[in-house]
Amino acid sequence: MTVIAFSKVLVANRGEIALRVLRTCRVHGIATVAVYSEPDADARHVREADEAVCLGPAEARLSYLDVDKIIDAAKQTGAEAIHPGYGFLSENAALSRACQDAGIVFVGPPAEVLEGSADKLTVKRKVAAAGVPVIPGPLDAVSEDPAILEQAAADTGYPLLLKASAGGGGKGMRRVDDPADLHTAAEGARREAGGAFGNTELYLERIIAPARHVEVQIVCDDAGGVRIFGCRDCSMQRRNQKVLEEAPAPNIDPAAVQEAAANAARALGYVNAGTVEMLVEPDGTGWFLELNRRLQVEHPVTEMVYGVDLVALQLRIASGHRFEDEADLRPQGHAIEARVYAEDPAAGFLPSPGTLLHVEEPQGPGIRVDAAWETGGVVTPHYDPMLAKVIAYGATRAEAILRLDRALAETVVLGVRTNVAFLRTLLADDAFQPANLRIDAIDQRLDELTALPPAGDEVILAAAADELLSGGRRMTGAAAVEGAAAPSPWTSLGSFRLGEVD
Amino acid sequence: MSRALRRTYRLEGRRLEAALRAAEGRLTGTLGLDSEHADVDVGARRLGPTQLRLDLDGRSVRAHVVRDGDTAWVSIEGRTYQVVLEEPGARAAAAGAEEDFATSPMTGTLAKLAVEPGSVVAEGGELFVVEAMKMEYVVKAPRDLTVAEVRGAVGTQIEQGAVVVTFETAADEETGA
Repeated sequence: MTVIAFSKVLVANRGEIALRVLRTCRVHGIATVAVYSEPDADARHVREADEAVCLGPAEARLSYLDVDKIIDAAKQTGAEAIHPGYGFLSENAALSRACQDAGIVFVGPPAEVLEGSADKLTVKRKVAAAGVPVIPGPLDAVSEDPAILEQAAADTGYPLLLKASAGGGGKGMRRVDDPADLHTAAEGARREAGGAFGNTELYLERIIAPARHVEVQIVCDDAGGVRIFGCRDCSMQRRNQKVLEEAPAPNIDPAAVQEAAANAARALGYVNAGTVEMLVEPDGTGWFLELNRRLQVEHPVTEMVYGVDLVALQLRIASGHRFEDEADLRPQGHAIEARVYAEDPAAGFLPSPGTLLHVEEPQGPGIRVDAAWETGGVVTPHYDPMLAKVIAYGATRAEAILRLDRALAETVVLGVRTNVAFLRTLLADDAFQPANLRIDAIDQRLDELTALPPAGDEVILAAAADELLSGGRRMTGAAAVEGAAAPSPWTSLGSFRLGEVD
Repeated sequence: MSRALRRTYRLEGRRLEAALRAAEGRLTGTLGLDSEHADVDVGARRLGPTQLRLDLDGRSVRAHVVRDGDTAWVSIEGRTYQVVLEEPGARAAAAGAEEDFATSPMTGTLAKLAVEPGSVVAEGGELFVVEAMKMEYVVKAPRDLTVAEVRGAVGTQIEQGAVVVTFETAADEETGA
């Protein structure tokens, strides 16, 4: 097994994924460099790295998305490799290219691979040519000409999906059921795609429904070796944003989708870790959706059932590791991930920025929490509002569900609204039964699934008891977190950070 | 030692009056909506800086509470609640409100303005779009209305609660203003 060839790695990301990559580096004795924007100066990923470099202001374009500044930070600190995490520059060919030019290793696909697969439509044409089934729809981009767009949409057939060629994470994507909504949807998708990716190109696909979202974790070496780490099911989505993810995908024969995934990876000359997303109809027919050329948010569920550290494997592949004489791995047990967001399901899932006044992270058998939250941390409107990924492992799916529900019930987040109660509703819902998994199941019953029983008297009684049993001296809330007032008996117990005060 | 409080709270759109006393590990008094008050007699213990345990007729509830200004954040079984202490007079103001403006629901960037002064918008029509964390939120007209004033420019940062669009009042419309 090839050893990791780097002694210092820069992590070009923030939040939980930056922490997660730092930890694997630490396991392997690799020194770490964090990068950050000004409001993140005190963030956990900065504090837990060996070194940290400020990139610029809050706006991602001027910090986490600035290729030149990241390359400069690597040069300045002597980092030999850059791990991009997910989001931000993780699939950015310019960063991979700039790394090659600067003699730095990009922990991800080589620039040529990213350049050749940057456009989702181009990818679709390439994998279709390799015999992989692709979703019906024109293999040309949507025209800016309203009449041509209308004709292409009519040819594709309604309901249809407008997708950003440069898209990902559900951004720049619109479902259109009624031809009357086509232009408004295209305008919104273009604006969102332009804001998120700097590219407004769209394409059309027919809606495959009913269908599940099944994805295959692949890792490819630079000599054409493809290793399959099984299937995940990520059907539990709200408006194309994944909410619950699990591995292995239940109630499916993985052979056909895994073969399609391997063929797609070979057709694109793929290298390093990636995910082939497929839509699978109830009869088992699978359609290629897209290739994600990065480590996925939901990679921990695969790690838990395969007993693998995918970040370590990424670093080994980047060091030249090849697969040839290793046996295939098999999944063991079941893992489910729940994404905890700072958002308010009762108010249309509006993001809920604010200061985290108190956080208690769940623990216990089979529980893994990938998060960068902490009491006193700030959820800013500048970045994604995901607070944590709570992942449960069990010998069976049923055990994983029980453990995850228990862990969510023990999760405490005060100061912002969260979707934790919504996640618990989903875990218990029929829609999460293996036979019922459908990508539109949540959207179809959103009002019902976000409705909660009215708050009971115990909520008011808890608030009143907190005041009555405080002794009247307790400093609470933002004042306590910021340490603006004098210390009190409660804050001195260590649940608030007072270290910034001098 | 015994301590008591009398408070009016708002929780999930309801208004609750509490008159409670804590003594010897119990919380006693009344809790209710307007004139319908129920007696309260529950066990209440502080377990830690943010944690309490209530015993309600044999049902044990563990809660975490942090107070921030007039809001008490309460977490029970993973669910987060906001309990807001109501100021005297606040209820009357809320009852009479038919607001003549639309505010930004979150801090973010004003991504789109769908109206201009004089625009006539039907209930549910798009007024403006706020973008934050790469998510879009469309603010719609709460009723049939005519736009009086638009504040803020597309691409600029707006705070949560900032007035973005004001509407002509009935009086304005009568005088043709």
